[in-house]
Amino acid sequence: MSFRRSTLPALIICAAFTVIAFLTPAMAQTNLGLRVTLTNPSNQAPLQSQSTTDFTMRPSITSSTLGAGVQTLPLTIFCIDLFTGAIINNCNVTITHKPEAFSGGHDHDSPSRPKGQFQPASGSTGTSGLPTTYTSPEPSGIIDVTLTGTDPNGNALVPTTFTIGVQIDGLVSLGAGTNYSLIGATANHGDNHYGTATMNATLVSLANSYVAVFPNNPLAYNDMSLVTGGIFDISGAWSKPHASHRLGNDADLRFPPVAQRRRARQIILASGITLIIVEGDHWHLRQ
Amino acid sequence: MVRITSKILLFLVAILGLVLAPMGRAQVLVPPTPANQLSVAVSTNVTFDSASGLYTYTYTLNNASTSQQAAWLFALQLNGTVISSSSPNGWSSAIHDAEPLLSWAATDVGTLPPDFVDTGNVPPSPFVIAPGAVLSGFQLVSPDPPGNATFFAQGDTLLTQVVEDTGDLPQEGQEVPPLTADSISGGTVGPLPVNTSAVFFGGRRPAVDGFLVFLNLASGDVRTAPVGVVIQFGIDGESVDTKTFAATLNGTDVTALFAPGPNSQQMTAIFALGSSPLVAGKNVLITSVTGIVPGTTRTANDVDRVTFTAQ
Repeated sequence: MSFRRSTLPALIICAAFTVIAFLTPAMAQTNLGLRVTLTNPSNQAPLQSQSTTDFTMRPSITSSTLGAGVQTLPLTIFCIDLFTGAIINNCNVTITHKPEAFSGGHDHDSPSRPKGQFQPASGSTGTSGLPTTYTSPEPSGIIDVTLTGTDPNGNALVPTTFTIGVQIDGLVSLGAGTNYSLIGATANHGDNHYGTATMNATLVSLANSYVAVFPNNPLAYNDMSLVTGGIFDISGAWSKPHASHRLGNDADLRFPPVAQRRRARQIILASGITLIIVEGDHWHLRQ
Repeated sequence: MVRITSKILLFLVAILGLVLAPMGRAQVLVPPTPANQLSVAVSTNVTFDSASGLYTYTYTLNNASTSQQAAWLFALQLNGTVISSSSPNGWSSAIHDAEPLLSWAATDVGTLPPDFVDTGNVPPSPFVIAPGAVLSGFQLVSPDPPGNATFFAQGDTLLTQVVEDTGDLPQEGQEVPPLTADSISGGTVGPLPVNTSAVFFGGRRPAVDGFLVFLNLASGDVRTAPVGVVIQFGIDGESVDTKTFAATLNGTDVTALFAPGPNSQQMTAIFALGSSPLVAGKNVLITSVTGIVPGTTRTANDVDRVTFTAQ
């Protein structure tokens, strides 16, 4: 058996990697790992079938009074034997987490992106697991969580990762329409027209009714909500404005022509929009 | 050294509040204004066209001189079908999607005042109903006879206006009132489909009571005027001589006020206060018609009495 000279270095490298792969767990870690579960499964909404994360929850709203509230996700972390599934007591666990860049409809990123908070972020699993509560940030998006720790003998545990989807469920893209245009996309938020199914249907109906009265005068819809809601930070600074636009029931409408505005107000009311506020260069519609 | 007394401290806190307040709140240019600062009376005229079987409802709005707002919107609760609607000059009508409403609104702006500045808000309209003014011409056509309905009227207000969406409007804890809540309301008349499964026979002789039944009126009803009465002959297929039909309202012969329709076995009358024997308060309508008693060749008279209140 012979090898060509050029093949030999590659074989050596492969062999080295194989040895490292076999030895690493045995040298640095035990066969113990971590498992995370909902503390009160019956109190949590079931995961949506289209969800790509392990858990979902709503974003907190702390900088606006509209729908204000802190959203929490109670979790319990267990130390387990990865082969048998048996729970191991008294492991020490550390939780680290970070938001996925560009998730939640934000096309901008920065180290200051709010990521929420685990409380506590470390501790012993004791005999019944380590209870911890995650408080979501205002921006929607995906939170990557990593659990590390040691067993009672000080051996490193096999790290575990999971994801939390911070999101307003059920928002869908308004999509293009015959009687309206979609405006206001920016580098920070290139996809800015998501709403509840009801809101979207209302906006389509509103535009149809408006153009039926004023042919060739399509409406122009500016910011609605981001793909999974949460704070819609126009400037990309993770803070308002917008104060609202978080839940899929807000839409900005470019000013109708002056002579059509009173009729527009009537048509908007007739469409089921309950609130019209004049803001800057647009009408803010809320259902 | 300056001693910081409690008064100085309060003063500094107040100044700080004034400086910081606009940073956290929207700068409000036009605060939310309730649109119910008016008093409106609605009078209704209803006509029935035998040929088409359609009712025409015409409404007149009287904005009281004591109102603080002009009326810009008038809406009618819809319990029946609207085939068409028309509006006074400068007004437009709209069927609402979210609620069973037909609204008319002063939408034309005419010639804007020379000093008009476009702030993005709604411009004024010369067609609103000023306090003390009356406007008619709010009209709809329906196949349904008149019944009780609710109207809503809104005062002419500017839209709430802020600089930008940095704050929370409406203010904390305030729900956004729907049109029907942010308006004044009252009773009027509107289309109401007849319920043929709940007819009123009006008599106590089962053999002949089906000769004539009331499709939309029963004893004890309280109705807003004008009161529309729809009767049907031979509800169970009885043979009825409709030429013998007669009716009195409060003792006055009103037979001639009944017109054929909406179909060949029905007749309709509209009774208005002032132009008919209808009175505000208790009314007694008595009808009679001759027919053949089912299963016999014998003729008999069905006399029916219905007592109702008009308001």
